Amino acid sequence: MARTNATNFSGALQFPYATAGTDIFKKEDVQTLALAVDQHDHTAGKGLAPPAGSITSGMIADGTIATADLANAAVTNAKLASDTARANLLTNGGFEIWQRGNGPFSTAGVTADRWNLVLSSSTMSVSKIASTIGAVGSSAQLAYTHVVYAELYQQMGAGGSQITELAGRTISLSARVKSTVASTVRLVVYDGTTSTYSSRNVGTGNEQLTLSVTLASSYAGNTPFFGVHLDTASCTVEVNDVMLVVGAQYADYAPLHPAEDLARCLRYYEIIGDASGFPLTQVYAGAAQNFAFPFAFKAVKAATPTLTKNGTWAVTNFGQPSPGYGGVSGFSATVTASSVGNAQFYTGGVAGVNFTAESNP
Amino acid sequence: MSVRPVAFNADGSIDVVYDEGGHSGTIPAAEIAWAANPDGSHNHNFVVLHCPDGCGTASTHPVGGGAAPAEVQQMFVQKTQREGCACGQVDAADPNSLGESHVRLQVNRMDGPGRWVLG
Repeated sequence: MARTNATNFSGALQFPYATAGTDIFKKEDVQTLALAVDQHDHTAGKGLAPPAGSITSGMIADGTIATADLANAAVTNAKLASDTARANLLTNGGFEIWQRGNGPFSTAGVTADRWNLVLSSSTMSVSKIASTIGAVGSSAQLAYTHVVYAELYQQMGAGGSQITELAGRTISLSARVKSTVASTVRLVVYDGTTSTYSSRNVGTGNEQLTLSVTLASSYAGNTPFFGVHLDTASCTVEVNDVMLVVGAQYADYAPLHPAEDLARCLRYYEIIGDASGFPLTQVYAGAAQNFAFPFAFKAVKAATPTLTKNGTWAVTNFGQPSPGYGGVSGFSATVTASSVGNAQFYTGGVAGVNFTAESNP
Repeated sequence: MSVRPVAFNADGSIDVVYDEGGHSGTIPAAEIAWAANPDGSHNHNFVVLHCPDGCGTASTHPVGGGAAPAEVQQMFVQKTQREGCACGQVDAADPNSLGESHVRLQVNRMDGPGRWVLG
């Protein structure tokens, strides 16, 4: 058997070694080997580096990457999972607040707080139901009869809406839906110029629809909206947990504290007066004397609101109150006394007798 | 929502709904009334609609639109074009464009530019 040189060492000191038991042993074999080994530099950082791009997930033990291993400002929105809680840009996305009643609402207009019903030849009624999908609580049930289309959406328009600050950004909309008919409901984003739609529901179970859109760079035109669109066949759809977030990655529903959710709704609709008897006003009046009673809103309105005196108020020596002179922070209710003496108006603790203030985009 | 217009008829009347009460009906043009100031004069920034059902409910709509911007602004435009404005700046005989411009100015003064939603 011939002697052979080292095959894995390419340095200057090639050391031959015997490859068979019959080969003679030379002390130079060991001497040369020792010199060759002595050439190896084992100080820190020496040695053959792994080829670039060769470290993959399978070569890293799970749970060993620490925050310090990440570069600052390196985690992009697209790297977030949908269960990363984020702020919802919509109000009442969980359909928990129905100040106008539980429905069914079948005339175009606001239904659950902030949710606007729009009809194009089709009919659709919107009702509050106990949730069977998504977050526990309530959902919106849409009973849709198909002709052209119907939509349930939130507008972002005048009145200090955040929409002007979202211009040009990529946003993601998501919602839980369950329809009685496959391929009947999809998400819609209208940015004031263009409507963009998600895919429709695939089946009849609990599904999460998602849609990411880069909004137009300005809102000089029509009012943008975000919601659901039905346009293929009659069906009944449950909608819940609608989320609108900044970024290309949609987010699972993150409920607000109920107080904050209601506070947002009060910006657009507020009830003054309840069955407890509030408010009750009383003065000593002269005959035919006019009075104006000021009422402050709990929340500053998005725009000057419509003021409604609901029902017939209980009165003594007063005519019916008339809300007027309203601005975004309050209004005055004016009344006229019939004769000299004590005069008062009050709800009488009757449900539905109150004032409402409403300003919608 | 409120006693709000949902359709406009050729004779100047409007179809209204009152969602909370489940009421609806038609209000004649003559009953689409300006709100009254304390001195009894008319206020061109507000219009009062009484529920035609007779339930006692009445809504005071601001020219900015309030609960239903498109429909309420349209109501102000048509009333001003038909009767002139309560302030006297627009007469019933004036061109329709003047009435609309006047209402748009009122909207801008009340709620700022961007609140006008009519085309």
